[in-house]
Amino acid sequence: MKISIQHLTKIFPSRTKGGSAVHAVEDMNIEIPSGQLVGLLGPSGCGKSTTLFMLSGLESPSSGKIFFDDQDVTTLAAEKRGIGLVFQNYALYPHMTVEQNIRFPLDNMRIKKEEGNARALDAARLVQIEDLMARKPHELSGGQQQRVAIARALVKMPNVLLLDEPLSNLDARLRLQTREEIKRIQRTTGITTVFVTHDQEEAMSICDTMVVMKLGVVQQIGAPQEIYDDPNNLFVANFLGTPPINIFKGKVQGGKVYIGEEAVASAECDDREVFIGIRPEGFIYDPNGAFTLNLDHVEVMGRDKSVVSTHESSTKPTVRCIIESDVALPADAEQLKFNIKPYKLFLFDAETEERLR
Amino acid sequence: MEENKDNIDPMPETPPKKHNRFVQYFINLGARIKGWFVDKYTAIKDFFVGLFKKKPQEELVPEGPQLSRGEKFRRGLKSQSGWLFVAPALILMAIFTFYPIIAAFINSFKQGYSGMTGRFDGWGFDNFVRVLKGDTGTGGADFVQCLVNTLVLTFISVPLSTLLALLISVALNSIKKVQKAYQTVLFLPYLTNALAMGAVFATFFKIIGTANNTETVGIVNIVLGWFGISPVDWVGLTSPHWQIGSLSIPWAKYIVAIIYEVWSGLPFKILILFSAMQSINKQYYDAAKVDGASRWTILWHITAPMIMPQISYLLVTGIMGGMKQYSAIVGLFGVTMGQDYDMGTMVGYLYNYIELGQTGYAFAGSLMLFIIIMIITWINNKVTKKRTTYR
Amino acid sequence: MPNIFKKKNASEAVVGKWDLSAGDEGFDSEKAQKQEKIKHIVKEVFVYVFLTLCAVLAFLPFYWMIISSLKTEMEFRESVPTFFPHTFQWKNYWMIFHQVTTTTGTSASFGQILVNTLVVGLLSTLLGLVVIIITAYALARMEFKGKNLLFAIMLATMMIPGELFTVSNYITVAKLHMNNSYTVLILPFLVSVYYIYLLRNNFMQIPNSLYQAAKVDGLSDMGYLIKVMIPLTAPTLISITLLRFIGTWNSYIWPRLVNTQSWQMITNWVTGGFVDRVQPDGFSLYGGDYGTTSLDTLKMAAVCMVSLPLLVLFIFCRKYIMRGVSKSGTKG
Repeated sequence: MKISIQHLTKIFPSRTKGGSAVHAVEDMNIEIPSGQLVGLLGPSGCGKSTTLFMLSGLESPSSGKIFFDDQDVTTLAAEKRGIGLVFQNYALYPHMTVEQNIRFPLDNMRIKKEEGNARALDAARLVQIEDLMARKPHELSGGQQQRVAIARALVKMPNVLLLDEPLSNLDARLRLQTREEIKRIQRTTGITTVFVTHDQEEAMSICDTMVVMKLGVVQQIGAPQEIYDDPNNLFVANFLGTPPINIFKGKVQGGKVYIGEEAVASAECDDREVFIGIRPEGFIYDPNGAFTLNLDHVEVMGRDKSVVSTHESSTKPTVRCIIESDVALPADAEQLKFNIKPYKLFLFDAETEERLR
Repeated sequence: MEENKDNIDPMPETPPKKHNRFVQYFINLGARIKGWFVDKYTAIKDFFVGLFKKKPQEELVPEGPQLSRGEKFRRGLKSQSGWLFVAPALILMAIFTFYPIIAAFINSFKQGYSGMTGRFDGWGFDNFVRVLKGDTGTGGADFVQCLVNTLVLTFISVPLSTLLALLISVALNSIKKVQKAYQTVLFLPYLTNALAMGAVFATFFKIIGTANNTETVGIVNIVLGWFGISPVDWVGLTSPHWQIGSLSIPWAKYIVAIIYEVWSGLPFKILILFSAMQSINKQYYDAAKVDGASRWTILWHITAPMIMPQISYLLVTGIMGGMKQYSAIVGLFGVTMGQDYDMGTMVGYLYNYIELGQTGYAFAGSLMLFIIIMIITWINNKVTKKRTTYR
Repeated sequence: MPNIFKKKNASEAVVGKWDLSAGDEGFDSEKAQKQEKIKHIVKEVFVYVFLTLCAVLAFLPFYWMIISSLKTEMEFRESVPTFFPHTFQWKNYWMIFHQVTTTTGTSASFGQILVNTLVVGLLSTLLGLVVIIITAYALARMEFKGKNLLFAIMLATMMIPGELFTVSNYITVAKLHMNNSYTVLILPFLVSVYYIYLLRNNFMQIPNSLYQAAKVDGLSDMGYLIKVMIPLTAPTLISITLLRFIGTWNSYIWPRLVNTQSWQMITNWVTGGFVDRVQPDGFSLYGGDYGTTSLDTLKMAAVCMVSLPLLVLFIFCRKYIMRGVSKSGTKG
């Protein structure tokens, strides 16, 4: 099922009298091709969950339209949209067994008992919980509850699967496993899937398409690698990547990019004040390099090393460079010189924070 | 969330064997009874072991300087000064609680016992036999009649008012505007004096009196008159009843009493159920909506099970209160509890015999009330043992 | 692999139950929206009608009580009841205040009864509170041998219906010649195991670190109780105070058993009959037409006198009363 969102806007009225209304989502336009796994990514309060709930039909938009294929579903009730929704806290009914939980949507659809049993079992098998059918939710671990919630969402064979922060309640190890699991389930079923997360690593690792949002406004849509390599603005560049991108204040003058007094790269735009973003992996150690950093310390991480240093133009307290572990660094040096990989350096307008290309 | 013991592979456990529902019930029951005995045993054992074991605190008393005898005594006294604090309560309870329990057990076996003089004719079950047979020779209330009345009134009015409270709470929970105002008005009957409001209800049902030489009737009879039903003497001397042997079934008075008890019992039940509903996580409703559950399904499969602990609590306390009802009956039907005590309750029975000076029968009656309440408590405990709070 | 979850081609739409176009020919969003709206309004109206009906029925007895107390007996007895008095008969209240009930030589005026109720209510509430607080404190914070056994026994007595005690207590007070006194109304009910239990749990929730801090600050045990624990548990204490006072106000059985009329309480007073008695100065409401028949209008005036203070108390202390009630509701 293809999803298209057109001019979607959600305004929450102010809670206090005379306060201003909250624009949770503003003029959102997205086309989601059928069978894709899409991640809505952004910091908390950016409207990503609101978008998801509008897709599910639990929230109604203030304006704009939502289409599933060619059907306008904007005003369609949640239960008629044919969606599966996995809640952040799973919302498993505590008084029902796993089996009853999974069967619940089918019972509401008045599906025959034998068929319902077969489908519930199939869904349970898909998420590998068929041995836990007789248990109650409180007898399950977090990861197992998560699987039950996914099975309950899948059992009615939805057109669209929606997941609200599916991994946020799991511990680190489980999170890795579960995200692969979600990817696998999505591949197996081919259901168009939209999930919400604030964790960029999570989104990058499994998404086909990623939608980065900030304060209700979509910042960039694209494949994870595309967005990482070609961010639209400072926010997107800053939000993606661990360790995060290094940002310096600088200027463009005469076709050259200056950080402090040093020209670190060439540029094709007019002279102006800019923010310069350099990915940590964009540094090449070179004793005769163009860019000088004040070394603080070096963290050895096995595969590579992380050079932590400072620079007076940096907007963050430290500058982090990732370099390969077999590059020898001089001992006791106070300053290190680097060259910058040009495709790892992005220029942003100092005022609009938009990317300068 | 218990994430630590998580296992990404499904637990390598065989699913519990499925039994027939009834077989399963008895298996569970057996396990529960066994668990009960084990619990009690360990608790009692721990208690006695605790009594004889030295408290670790006492070992902490510094052994360095030898304490003088006076100092030792002073410290010993101080460590027991808690008794001083509980002494007032303890003395009062000894006189008005502990002694009466023992006295009730002993005195109910004294034949022809007179409380004032302490004189009695001998030991035996005579009091109980006479109370059960209704052979007290005093013209007081009849125990079996009182027992039947109490059970009928309780087991009709309590489920009825709980169900009604559930409906009202659901309605109250579904509205947004003026919710507080409705809640407050509905809670008003909680703070009433049973005798005073009983008298008001009686005027609704009464044959009021005469005006201009015609009989006038209360509102209920007037409303019934609109439907062509002739006035019924709901609470008076000519109130209709069925007779089964020596047992009288004053159905008209039952109806009045049940209506009053539902009215006065609703506020508490609404308060409990409504606040329980308010604390259910909204996500369950969202999930149910996505799963396509109808309003009815949501009520019976989501809301009701989630507030089951509160419902069962209300049933238990309601039945307990119902078994001890008395003031409402006096308010509605007067001190004689209807005609010849035909609306008597078990508690009414006790007071009737105290006032008649027949303390032996009163003791026997109170002991039987105690036993009946114990039986109901026991059944309640069994039924509601597996109460879990979800949320 | 489960057969129902076969991989679908990205281009292939999921066909089945959820094909949105299947049921209705071209889903008409406007029409559906209208239908939903109508459904919603119908439901809303139904709910409000139901709730309003319940609210009216809940309030009707109070309304009826008040207007009946202000009607003349003639109007009250009209065959078509009036929902608002034609003439306000405020003298009904005058009459019940001057009514002196007489049985077997003892008499009770409203003034006497009110004094009884207030004195007993205040004393038993205050003294009871003191007993409850110190007992709960000892059980929560002090260590002494046999504490847990004592607490267990106290809790066990909650299982036994209070009526079992009444017979013996009736004999006890008679033997101690305590009949016809305030003491007999106060003493047996000073200890309330349930409130002790409630307060003890409240006390135990106060973290121990607060006690240690108070010790460092040089507070004695008593000082700690008064300056820290009581203020912290004030909401519970207020609830207990209110519920106890209401309990005394409504007490009926025990005063009737042990005291004669002039020593009884307001609820006992209201169960009596109220007649249009010719006063010493020759005044009467209806010239003695009704003889010694108990008049419902006068009775309703008395009922108002008993019920209205409770309503006023409820209006001003709703928060605490409701909290107290729901607390006992969740005791489990």
